[in-house]
Amino acid sequence: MKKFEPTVIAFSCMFCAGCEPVAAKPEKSMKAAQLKVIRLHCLGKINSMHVLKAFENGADAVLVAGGACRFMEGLAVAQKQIEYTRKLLEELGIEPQRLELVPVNQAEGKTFNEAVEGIIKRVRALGPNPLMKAKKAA
Amino acid sequence: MVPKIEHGKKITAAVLVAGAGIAGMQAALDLAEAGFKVYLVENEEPGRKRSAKGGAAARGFLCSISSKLLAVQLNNNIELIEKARIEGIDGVAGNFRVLLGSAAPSSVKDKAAATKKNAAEKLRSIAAGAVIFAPGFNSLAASSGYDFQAELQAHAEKHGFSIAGTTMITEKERLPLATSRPGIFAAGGSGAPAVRDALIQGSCAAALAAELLSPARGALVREKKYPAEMSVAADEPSIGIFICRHMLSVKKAAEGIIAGAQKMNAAVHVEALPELCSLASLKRVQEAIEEQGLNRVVAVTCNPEAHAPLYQEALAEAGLNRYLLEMPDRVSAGHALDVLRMAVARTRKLEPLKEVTSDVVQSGLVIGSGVSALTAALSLANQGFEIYLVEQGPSDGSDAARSLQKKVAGQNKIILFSHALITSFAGHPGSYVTTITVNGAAEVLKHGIVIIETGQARDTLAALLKIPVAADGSYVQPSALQPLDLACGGMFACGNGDVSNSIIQGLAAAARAATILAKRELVLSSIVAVVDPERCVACLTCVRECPYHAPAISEERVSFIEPAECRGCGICVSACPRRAIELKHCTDEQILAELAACMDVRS
Repeated sequence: MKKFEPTVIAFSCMFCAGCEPVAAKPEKSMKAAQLKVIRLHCLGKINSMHVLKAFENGADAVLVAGGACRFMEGLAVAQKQIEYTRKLLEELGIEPQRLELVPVNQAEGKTFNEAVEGIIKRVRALGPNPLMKAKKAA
Repeated sequence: MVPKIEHGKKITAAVLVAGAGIAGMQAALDLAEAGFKVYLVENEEPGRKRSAKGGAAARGFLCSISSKLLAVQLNNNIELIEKARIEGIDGVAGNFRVLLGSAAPSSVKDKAAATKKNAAEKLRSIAAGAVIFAPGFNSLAASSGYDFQAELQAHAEKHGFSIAGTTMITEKERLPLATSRPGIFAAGGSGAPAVRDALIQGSCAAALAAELLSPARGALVREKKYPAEMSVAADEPSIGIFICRHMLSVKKAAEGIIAGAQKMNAAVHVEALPELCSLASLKRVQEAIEEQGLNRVVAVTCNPEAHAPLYQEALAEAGLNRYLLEMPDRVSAGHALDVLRMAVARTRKLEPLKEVTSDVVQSGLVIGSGVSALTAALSLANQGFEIYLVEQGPSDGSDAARSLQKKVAGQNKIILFSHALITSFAGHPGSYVTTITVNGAAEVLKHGIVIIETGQARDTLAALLKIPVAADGSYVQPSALQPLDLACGGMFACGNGDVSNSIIQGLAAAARAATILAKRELVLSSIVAVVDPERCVACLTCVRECPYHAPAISEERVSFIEPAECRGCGICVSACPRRAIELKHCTDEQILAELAACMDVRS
């Protein structure tokens, strides 16, 4: 059987974490895994729907990245949203560890990459997105 | 601070900047934005890469420099005169005549061509009120043995002025970058400045020239004309994808990427261009828009933040709305097609957005009591703008500050509030309202810009003025190419270091501020939240959640967000329980399209 490599979708603030991830070369362990970045004008925009949709589409993990907010409260608001969404995931039978918010500032590509590697390691142990398993069974 | 021009004498509202280096380009841009015609004279071809050997760091640097050059080229009030040099400067401050000749050719081949052309190319004479010498193309030139000081000295000897006072500020004069000849300024003269210093010195020189010429401001500039905007609402998306060759360094992969992109839905034109951040490439994009009837553009460059405003401008020149542009994240060969597929999916859903503008209140607020705050206030007042100077603590007792305080007292355009406390702050770039308390009495100040001297009780001030602060306590800097601009529009910081540096920064901040104050109307971002009145039930959630207090309940009893007041964070959008608010250019439809594309799910 093929070794499981998780797909990670990252929502990132275009001002804080926007361009760093790709510029800072991802480590080897990340190459096999798939990282896709969706930039937002501000993390304040994110809500549970975006995260749930990512899982519904088959993501194995979702990372939300942003830092010292240009709009003052974006990060704090996102934190609340993500906490709430983790509870929703639990109710849906998706491990909340698959969702993480990391504070990343401009020019901190390394922090971002470490976070990606961290979540990949965790999700490798968890296995594929349970929604996809259910889909296949149906 | 600047030589006064005798009353009644004619002033030419144009500045000649010699040297299209970083400092020169910054001076030209600041002056043109502040209402002056600029002639930017360069003896080489600007952009010719004197230090192309520098490797990857140099590449990135050159790509950011090229964005300044593009901004110069797209500005209709800057005339770029290439391969020319200054033969002589006649006249006096406010009314110079500068004689130009063709520059000495650098190679034998060029020389032969030049001799042929010489007969045809007569000397050109340009009328300018002030002259700024800003030699040197870029800071990396320094490492290749280039000597700014020597070039500046050569100019000085030739045109009969001394630069002795440009780097050292004497007790008496306190005028950096000025030469011994009034009306002639020299930027970038203190050895080999770093990029940041060169930018600041360029702005500083612009402030000095603007002070001199401010009575004639606006006389020679023309408003840029755009073609009528194409209506695209009814048309199917027809997308042009343009990729910078530097992003496709591996040839085989490049072919695959281009072939893959051509197959994408709605992509009608895919082209790789040698350097996407050059004027030639922008022109090519504009041609393609016309030829192929493109109505949306995806441009892949190495620095989307720096290049986006320039591509927006190019779209506007071609009659396309500025927001029908998508510049995805930096692309590496391994996942280029993924990124492109997501970008195209999002681009299909892009909508043209209405321009959001603000009337500019033509007065400024300067917060601080040190040398740089005093200098900034004086420079803006000398440029004809009304200034509120708010000192939160006691006055600065240093010698340098004292002599400036005397000048402030003699300048009737500055209203000074000592021992004042800022109690509230509201508004948006171009139109802010600040309430201060002095001796128990409240004063309401209306102003278009804010200049803050760094070190002014940073935490409380930042929270009150809603200026983002980085983890290390410094103000967040949105762009390395605009070192004094803060992350909020119309706000600038100044004042680090010794007296000489503080003066230079004060003047530079004044030049940046003048680019806003000189305008009647400021164009703001159209990325704003819009309420659907049909869905809104006036629950007040958005009113409570907005960090900027933008939403208000209208007479129709629904929430209304004034576009100019909205900064586009989207917090109200995610908080709204009725999903009645949409953030333009970052809509759920656009995000979901990207999400579907990245997992290759058909939506």
